[in-house]
Amino acid sequence: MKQWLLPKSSLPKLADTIRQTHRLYAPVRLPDQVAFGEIGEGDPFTLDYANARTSVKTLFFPQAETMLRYERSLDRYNDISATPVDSVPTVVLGMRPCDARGLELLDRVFGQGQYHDPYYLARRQATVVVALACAAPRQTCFCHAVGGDPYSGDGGDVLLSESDEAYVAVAQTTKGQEWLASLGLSEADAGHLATAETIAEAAHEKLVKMAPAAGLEDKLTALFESEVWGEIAEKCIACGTCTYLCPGCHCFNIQDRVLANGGIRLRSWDGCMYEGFTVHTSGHNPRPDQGARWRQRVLHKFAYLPENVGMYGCVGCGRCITYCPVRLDIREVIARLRIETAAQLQGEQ
Amino acid sequence: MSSLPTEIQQQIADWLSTGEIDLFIGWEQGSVPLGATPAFVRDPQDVSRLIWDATCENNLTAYLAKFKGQKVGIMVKGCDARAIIGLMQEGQWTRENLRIVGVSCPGVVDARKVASALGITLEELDQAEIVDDTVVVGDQSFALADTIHDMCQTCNRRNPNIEDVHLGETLPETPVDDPFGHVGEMEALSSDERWARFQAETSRCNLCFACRNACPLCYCTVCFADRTQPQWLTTTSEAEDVQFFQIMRTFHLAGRCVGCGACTRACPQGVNLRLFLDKLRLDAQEVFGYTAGVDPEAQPPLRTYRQDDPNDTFL
Amino acid sequence: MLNDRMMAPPKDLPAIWEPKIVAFLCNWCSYAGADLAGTSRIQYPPNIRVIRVPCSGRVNPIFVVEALRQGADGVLVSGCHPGDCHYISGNYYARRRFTMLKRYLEYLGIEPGRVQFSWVSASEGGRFAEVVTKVTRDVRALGPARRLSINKVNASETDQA
Repeated sequence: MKQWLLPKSSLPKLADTIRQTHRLYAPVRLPDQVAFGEIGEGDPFTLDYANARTSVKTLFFPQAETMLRYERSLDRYNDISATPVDSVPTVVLGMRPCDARGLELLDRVFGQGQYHDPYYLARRQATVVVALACAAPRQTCFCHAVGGDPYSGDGGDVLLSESDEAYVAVAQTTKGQEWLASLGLSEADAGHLATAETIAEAAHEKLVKMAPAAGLEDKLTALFESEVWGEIAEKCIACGTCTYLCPGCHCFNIQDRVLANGGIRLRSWDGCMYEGFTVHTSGHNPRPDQGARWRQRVLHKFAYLPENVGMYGCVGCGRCITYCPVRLDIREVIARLRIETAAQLQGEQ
Repeated sequence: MSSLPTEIQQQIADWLSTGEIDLFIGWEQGSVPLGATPAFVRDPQDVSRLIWDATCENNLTAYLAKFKGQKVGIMVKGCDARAIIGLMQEGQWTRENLRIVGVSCPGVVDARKVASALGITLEELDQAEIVDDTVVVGDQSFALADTIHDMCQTCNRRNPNIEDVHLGETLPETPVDDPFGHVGEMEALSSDERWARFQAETSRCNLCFACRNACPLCYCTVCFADRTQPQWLTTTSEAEDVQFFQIMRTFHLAGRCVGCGACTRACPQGVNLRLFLDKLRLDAQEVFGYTAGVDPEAQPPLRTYRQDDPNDTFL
Repeated sequence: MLNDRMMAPPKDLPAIWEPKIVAFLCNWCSYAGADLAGTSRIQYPPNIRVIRVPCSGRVNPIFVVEALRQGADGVLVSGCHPGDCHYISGNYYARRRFTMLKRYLEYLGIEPGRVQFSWVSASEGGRFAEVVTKVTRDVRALGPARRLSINKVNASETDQA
């Protein structure tokens, strides 16, 4: 696989080149956060950042989207039109490997099996994802514990790695290969490659030591009736911030919204942290307390998804840890569950 | 990391061992910088986990609704204590079922302000410590007083007005110049400008409901926002939904909001909810001479009436 | 925006905008007053849509905000005069509640005059007509209500709007 050199100074020019043929999203530094925004002519963006507050899934799976609409007039009944899917050619520049792995997860959920999600897939197919490896993992990063890596290329089409005033760009897919070849870049020289290697090693050293989650999926379901879930969830205020910011969370609701002269069918995010998530029409709720809802969150991410699609539902980005209003830390949850599974195993022996 | 003084630890342990309380709600060390986390202690031996410092920003009284009817101990700052009285005023709690450790609070740190002062985002704040009256981040330090939340900077009730024991020194209540100045600024704008301001402030909201869930006075078992028969809110975060939720949730606190600021601190998007709720608090004072969370016997203004109430709203 | 260009109104509606005002009228006083205006053949603007409630105290503030959200250009809540409430004190609670609500909505930028309140008794047919005339005039002057409405273009408007 060819290794191209992308000097940092050429980024604005690269943006202009991309914008000739594609819509461009890149990280923008705002007063209190970094967010992915659409880049117009001359708009500033940065690749020098930790992570965006909201995950990139929003660009592929927005919080609310119209699936179809109908119009009504006095002489006709309903005129239904399906919303055209968004397949505008797009480049997302500079997302982190954890976010890219989040897309890998959504690809499996929305693209495998019997039913495919046309809205998500259209955007995904029309987008070149240029991921940016992490030279400086943070204290809240734990991608390495859930099957990821600060230098993982999963889910991306291109991976950029930090070097000396430049990035080394390597294609991860055919789409990425074709895109890179079209940019007229030079190949990376030995010096830049060596620097990139050194930086990568240092980055891996920075990772907070953590036991990998591997193997947990087999033991968690045994804890289904345990009281540990109630204890874990006691301080959770069920606000759903973790769900909203998570690159892997993808549960949604579909409902019709009636307006004056017609209406729309709306798909919008839902969250298992909310009481209403499983409330039945009868009023019965099979997950009546926050402990049951936390059990669902953990089991979905660490037991059911590995079984169903072959990867964890958590990519270790750490957003939920940083933004939880009560500082409920999923790493502490996993650690607690390990103790519990070990205790249970001992109890059985 | 500041454990509680021995005598306070002992008091809480005694309450637990004698069964005066079944549970004590306090704060303990969290896993991210400048953020303590709520702790639920049932075993007297776990009392040593509890801390008090300027990172203890959560209003723990929001958890009381979950334990209604039980005997609970709790730690409260000045603002939090008002919420307990608010709950008592509305018949949600009786004094006998509570054991309260009050602490005088000089203000709690806003980690976003620290990040902002360093020119970084919250994700990039890997480490920070409070040492006496300063916040220390690596080789930089800031005066604690400069990093506390805006609402703490205009606080005039640093001491709890309800408690069984007190932790530490009582702080002087410094009178605050124009505590509702931000409300006055909004009132001075034209109708169009106010709407623009309201739109701008709420545009960041994505309807996560952290504000509602962190609020001790939002204890309805089914919130209007969650009802489906009828359905008031659809599930998007389009401007119309956000505005509707913000107007109605805050108005449900008319005459009830104690101004603790838990909502504003909980919001992950930094929406300035205080700007809306303080108008309601100001009106309760100006129109009905009422302040929530002060007198357990007093009736919230919308639960009562006088025959000579102001009539000028009506044609 | 999800609602963009959703609601271009049908071509067969009149081309002049007329305000739509939702009026919550208490059964015992204001509704009866409205009825008296009708039987007395007093002319007044036809822009109100009446919702009869047992008492002004029954009116939840959410109804007022929801009416604006659903596209009403104005809202009127009318009840018995203080002291005359059929349920003794319902309108006293309403008075406090709507004093707070009106101040709050105006603070947040809802135009003064969109949401109005009145006391009209069962014998005040003429006064009811006057109140409705005033409210309609005020709302007409403010133009179509857009601020909370989920319909970006109300069905009551022309397609030039």
